[in-house]
Amino acid sequence: MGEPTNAADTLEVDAIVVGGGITGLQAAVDLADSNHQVLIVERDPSIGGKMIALSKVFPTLDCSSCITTPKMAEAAHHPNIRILTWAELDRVTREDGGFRCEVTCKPRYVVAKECIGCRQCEYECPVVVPNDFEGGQGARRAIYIPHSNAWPQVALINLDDCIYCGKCVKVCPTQAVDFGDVPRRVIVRAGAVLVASGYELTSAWRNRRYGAGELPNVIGPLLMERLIAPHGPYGKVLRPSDGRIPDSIAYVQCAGSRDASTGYPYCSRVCCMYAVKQAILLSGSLPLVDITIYYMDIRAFGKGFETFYQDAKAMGIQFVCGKVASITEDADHNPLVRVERKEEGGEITVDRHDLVVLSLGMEPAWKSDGVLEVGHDGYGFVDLPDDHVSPTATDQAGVFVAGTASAPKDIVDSIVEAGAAASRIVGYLRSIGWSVGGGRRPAVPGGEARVGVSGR
Amino acid sequence: MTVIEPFLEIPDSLVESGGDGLNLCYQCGTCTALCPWSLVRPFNVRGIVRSAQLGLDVEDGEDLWRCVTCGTCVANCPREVPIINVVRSMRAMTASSGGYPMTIRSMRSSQQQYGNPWQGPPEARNAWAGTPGLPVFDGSQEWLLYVCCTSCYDVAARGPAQALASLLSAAGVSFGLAPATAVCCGCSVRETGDAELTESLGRRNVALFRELGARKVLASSPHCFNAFRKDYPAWGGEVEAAHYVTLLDELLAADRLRPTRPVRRKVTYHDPCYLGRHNGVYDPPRRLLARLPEAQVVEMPRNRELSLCCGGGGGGMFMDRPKGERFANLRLQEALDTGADTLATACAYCHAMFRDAVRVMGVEDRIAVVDLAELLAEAIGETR
Repeated sequence: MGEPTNAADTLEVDAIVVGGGITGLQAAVDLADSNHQVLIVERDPSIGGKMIALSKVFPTLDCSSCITTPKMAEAAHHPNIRILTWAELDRVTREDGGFRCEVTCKPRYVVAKECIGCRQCEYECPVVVPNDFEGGQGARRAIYIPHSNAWPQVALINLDDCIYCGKCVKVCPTQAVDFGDVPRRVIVRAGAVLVASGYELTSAWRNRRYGAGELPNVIGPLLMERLIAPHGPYGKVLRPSDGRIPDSIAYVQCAGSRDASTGYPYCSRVCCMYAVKQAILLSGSLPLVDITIYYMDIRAFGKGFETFYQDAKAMGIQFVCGKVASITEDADHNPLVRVERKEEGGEITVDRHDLVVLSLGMEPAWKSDGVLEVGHDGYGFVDLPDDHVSPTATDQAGVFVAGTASAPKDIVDSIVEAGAAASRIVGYLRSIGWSVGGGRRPAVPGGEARVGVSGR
Repeated sequence: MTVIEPFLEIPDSLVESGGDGLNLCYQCGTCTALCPWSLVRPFNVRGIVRSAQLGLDVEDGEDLWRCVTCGTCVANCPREVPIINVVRSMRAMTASSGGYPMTIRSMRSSQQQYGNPWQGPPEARNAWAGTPGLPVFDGSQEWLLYVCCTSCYDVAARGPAQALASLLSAAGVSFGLAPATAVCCGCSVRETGDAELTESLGRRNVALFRELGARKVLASSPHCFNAFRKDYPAWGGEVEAAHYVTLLDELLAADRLRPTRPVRRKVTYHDPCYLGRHNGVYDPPRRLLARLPEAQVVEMPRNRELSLCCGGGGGGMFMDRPKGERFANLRLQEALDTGADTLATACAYCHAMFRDAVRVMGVEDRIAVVDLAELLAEAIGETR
């Protein structure tokens, strides 16, 4: 029953999952497989989170979207899961032993249940703007389906981009375009809340030492993921300033992580490995490229990580020990990297590269302030009062957390936590005697409620 | 293999004397690569901190006296190590065994004898104000105007202090000069490691301010401002300290100063380290410049918190550097590269260092070094 938007104004579920990234999807599927009714609230127009945009995952180099899309489909088609995309969680309060959640479904200006995802509107739309899914590279239209792997495959219009020419209205075979669409409020009653709101990259790229975001060939890691991805914006790695294929690429580790001067003193755990991964992938797609990774120390702590790092070194990727002090550029927008080479006699060098990737760390994507009462640390990560024994329990009974909402972590750890949180929620719901499955289950379109049936 | 015997009491004593935070350093090298010395010669800040951690002597003894305390390393240190405090503590330890460089020794003896670093006779402290001079602070005025010793005794550069006094008069600010018994704020002895002498100078000024009933002290130099603001409270100095540019900024905002005369210059502003990085005053100087009629203001690429030190801080003002190692020359070149005909600053040290650089580089006809107060006075016109 995965209608993208839902006609009901009130819903009753066992658990509400905040965030439809890999963590939220996994937790929702685990809960739904335990015969619990779950609602996923996703802020973006598609589920899939950050993972759907990645090229491959470390250290196995498995295709990222090949792992994410089945999970998206499983959640989308699960009889016990409902999903609201393009929706904001406005307020969560306690009510009758559970939670009352106010959600606003933002207007898509396309009627979801009419849209068949044919993309005729996209082909007709004359407006071309930078594609935010592709990190600002490539292009999308004013009316667009978020990306080829998006779920739901339903278009939406960004009115800031739209010139109101009406071409989409004319071409739509199902008359789905509706400029009169308005925000719609949904009230959800839930027994438990799972915060799986994920991360954003830190804003350390704004630091003036790294060019204050004004150097075109100094990019973030998620854009590089798109450039490497086979279904990326260009199908090849091109640098932003002039579209040239770079011959020399540098990674600046701890750009904003473990650096109090940028406001992010903590380690983000994944940057070492994604830099090594991208370097290995780039060595494959650009066989002649020189890759340099400037680092303080490589934290290859997970299963298979150290071998992965050693493989990268054996492939000829240069590792230079020293924290990059500053990045400027020459007249051709080639980034100039200034660093003390600690293992080469402390020599200060200024190295010219064609493209520099800042290995930016993670910060929480969503701040619970004013929406949900739950403790968080000074950086906005959800607090874990007892994290050694209950790594998914927050300081609020009934509110759980998984994935990068509580601390930076990789995909594997996030998925493990998703399962752990689902299991905790099952126990919690039983302890408070909450079940909407027993007679209060929402109607399932296309069939009867299937109690005790897991999956399809 | 050499066996090195570290002096393990050194790190402990460094921590005691203000270098705490030393052990936070994780040796990333950001400081070394950002240090202005890296523009002119090898100088390993990270190595100095490492030596301190291990209780070893700095390999090149000269290195310890190079630091200009500009604060670039501290502002960008990922671990917030108070590197300047570490350097100052190491200087103190070296100095306790008589290790001061020669020029620093003569500066110190002048401080001990005259209470200023320039062997200036105390009675001539306010000679810059001319005759009949300006009223000395007697407790009846709002502000005590404390002019930096370097401005007081530098006969070739009385302009900035005179301009400042004329602006204050024009705006109707109630002020009196620090009397001849005032001594150096203590910054140069503090940065070169003599905490004892710094405190004795500081306490003399604190006692003087109290005796005179001064509540608000206006500093002409960021170094004095920094000392009044950060050091003096520990010695009972309860004055409200301000650097003059923030007061001028307020007077402009309150319409008590009206710049009307055209200032037909192309100006670039140099952020003094102790005004900018050390005290976070970046905007008032720029607002002041924006008020100069017809002046064109350009920024050097290194500005605000990335400003390149003139080389005068940390005792650098009192040391001889080979021509190729003078930051002021590099900075002046950066100013020239903007096409500016005027390099503005708000610090007596910067003013002096850049004037030297102009002469050394022979660019007197291309660029003038002026103080912000002088520029504003140009726009206000003669009022005194």
